[in-house]
Amino acid sequence: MWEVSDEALFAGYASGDPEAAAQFVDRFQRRVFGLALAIVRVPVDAEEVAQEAFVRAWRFAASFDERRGSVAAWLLGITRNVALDSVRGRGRRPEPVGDPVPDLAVDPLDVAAAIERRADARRVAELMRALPDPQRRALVAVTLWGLSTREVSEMAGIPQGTVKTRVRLALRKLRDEMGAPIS
Amino acid sequence: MGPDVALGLLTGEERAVALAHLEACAACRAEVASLAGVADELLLTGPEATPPEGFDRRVMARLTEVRAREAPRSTRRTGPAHLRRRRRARRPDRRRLAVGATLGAAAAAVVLVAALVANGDATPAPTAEQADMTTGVGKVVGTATVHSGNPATVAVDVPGWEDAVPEDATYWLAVEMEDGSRTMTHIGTDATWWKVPLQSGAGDVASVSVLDGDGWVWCSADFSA
Repeated sequence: MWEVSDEALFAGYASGDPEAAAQFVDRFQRRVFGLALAIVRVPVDAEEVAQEAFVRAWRFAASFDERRGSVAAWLLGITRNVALDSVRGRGRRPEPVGDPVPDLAVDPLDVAAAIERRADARRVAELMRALPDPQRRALVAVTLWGLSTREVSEMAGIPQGTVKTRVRLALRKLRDEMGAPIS
Repeated sequence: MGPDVALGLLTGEERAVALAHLEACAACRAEVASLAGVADELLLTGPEATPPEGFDRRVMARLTEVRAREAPRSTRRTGPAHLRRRRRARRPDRRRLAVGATLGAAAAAVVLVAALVANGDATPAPTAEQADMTTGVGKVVGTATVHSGNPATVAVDVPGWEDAVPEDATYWLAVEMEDGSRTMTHIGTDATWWKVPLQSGAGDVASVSVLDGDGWVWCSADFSA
């Protein structure tokens, strides 16, 4: 069955087409809410974050540039920023409640394996798999789980400087492998 | 510094210093932009979770509320940057017509312009600028034409409108000007053509939209430069 591309759907969402908006939300809500929940850990807060992410995506639609990345990546980047703002506004993160979300004890490769079916994530998942394990874990912790390097340092029992170094090396390595998006 | 900025790992003070540097350093800006793009790509591998029941309805309701509050400024420039570029690239499709309508032939227009010049008449010839009315997914459903004159007017023609919308629905024709002001005119569902006068000049029109009762854009035409 023919499916509207993410970019075309987003164009409709941005312009206010109600049908496109409903489809856009339906298509991305699980990913947006999932990332929000991973970072803020409280379902009711995650919903607030996810709602705000969709609103900001509409509000700042004009800043999206497909030459710099996909709609999904851009939307999730917004979600992460909103979630981090939410977490920082409340100080330390609460302990997980309800359905547990993955933490550092979960091998991020499990996550990567689970999303193998997502075509848009396959490439970056493969590159992440090729990273040295300590670098990959540090990078996943600060990106997908939104932890600060201090939090990672405390949880992993390693110096904060070491965490920062691993994150920097990992991100640069991925960028070099992926080819730098245009600036 | 690049990865820390791209991942949002800096404290407020560190971030301020970094941003001050970035403002003056194109090389670092490019470095951060490339790393930020990769950081966003990483999020594609993130976990999925089913949101609470009714999440999508609440998002739509919130969007409707925000749009109603902010639409006058945001709809004019909304649309992904690449699509806005495409719209600009399609400019040649927009028809600028001189006097035209009653003359119907270029030769006759030339004769009229020549006559105006010969008479020293400084009054500019009335013009009409036309653009396609498109839905959010780019489907062309009609045209909007901005006529100069006194007063300037906007005419919108959406063939098939009667069949596309429910009879009892409420719709508005919104004309947004370059200064962000907007005039709303209620339109019925029993016609396919409307014409409204403008408060200011035809050249100041930024966009023409048909909105439903909740403020959602049904179709629109972009006249912004």
